[in-house]
Order: sequence, then structure tokens, then C-alpha cells
Amino acid sequence: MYVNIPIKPRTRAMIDQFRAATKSKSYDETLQKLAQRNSFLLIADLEGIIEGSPEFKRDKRERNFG
Amino acid sequence: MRVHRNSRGISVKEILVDTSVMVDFLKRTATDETKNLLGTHQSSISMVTYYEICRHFLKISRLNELEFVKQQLYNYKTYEISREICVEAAKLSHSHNLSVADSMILATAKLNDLEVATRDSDLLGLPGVIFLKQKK
Repeated sequence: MYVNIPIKPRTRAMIDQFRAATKSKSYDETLQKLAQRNSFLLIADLEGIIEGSPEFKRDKRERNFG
Repeated sequence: MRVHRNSRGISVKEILVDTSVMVDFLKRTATDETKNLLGTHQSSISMVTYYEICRHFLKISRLNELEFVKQQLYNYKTYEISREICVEAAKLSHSHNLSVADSMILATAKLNDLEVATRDSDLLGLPGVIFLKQKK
């Protein structure tokens, strides 16, 4: 059974923004993603996006003053 | 360590993911141990890691992928750098001889009661650090 729950335009805009960012196909899917507590699932699509690229090396240089 | 409640009422710990671990994931070189850790915890990053990811993508000339990454990270929990974090980072940098990025990330974790998941050997053995091995 489905019921309509009135929401404020601002809330709707936020959900639309999240829907676009997560590429969700429906509002049900969007709300499910919003309800997920493990935020790492949000970026699951990024796994392997730079596969085979060079190693990350942190810049450890110190700035010189004086 | 910060504890969250999910919709089923189960406690989920939060960890701060360091850039080295995040890049492993992006390169698909994360170990099963790393994936298991990230899959069973709430996770977040520091704004320093956000910067380093952007810089790394520029360095390896992957501008198109960077736009997609920025879009995906839009809703990912990211800790801003505050004055308090700067002060704590300065203390940590001074006492442990850490770089700016290392100390900022460690201070962010410390002040937010989180542990840092990292592969950076400079943080090995420090309190609040989960050191992860590199994939062979």
C-alpha cells in the first residue's frame, strides 16, 4: 500500500539533489540510499575508476619560513 | 570511537578513511581486510583527503574521472578543517614529527572520537590508528 506524504519544497529539492548525485532511478531507491548507514556504499561505483594508475604518494614537504 | 545507530538499531562504528586507503579503493587494490573494514563501518574522510584525491587525479591527468568522483563524494561525510583541528594538528605534528596532511587527518579523527584507517607508515603505531597492509 502506498500513501502520499506531503513534504516541503526544500526537502523535495534536497531529495532530488541526492537522487541525481546517486543516480537513483526512483524515489524509493533514493530514500533507501538515504536510509543506509554505511556511507561507503555511496561511493561503491568509484571502485577501480583509476585502476592501473601510479601509486598515491602524500606530499610530505615542509614549507620554509624566514 | 563514535557509534551510530542504523535503521535496525544495530550499532555501527565510524572510521576516518585516509587518502592512501581511499586511493587503494579507487585503484581496485584494496585488500579484503580493507573492504571488510569499510563494509562493516560507517566511514568518512577529512577535507585534506578530498584535496589530496583532487590533486592525485590532476597529477595522473584523469580530469573526466575527477568530475565523477566529485559528484559521488558530494554526499559522502567529509570533515571540515576547524581552528581546533589546526591547533591539535600542530601539537601532533610537533610531538610526532608528522607532515601537515598526516597531522590534520589524525587531529580530525582525535577531536571527533574516530579511528583513522590508513596505509601510511608514518602513522604506524600511533594511538587511534588502524594500519592496513598493502595488497601483494
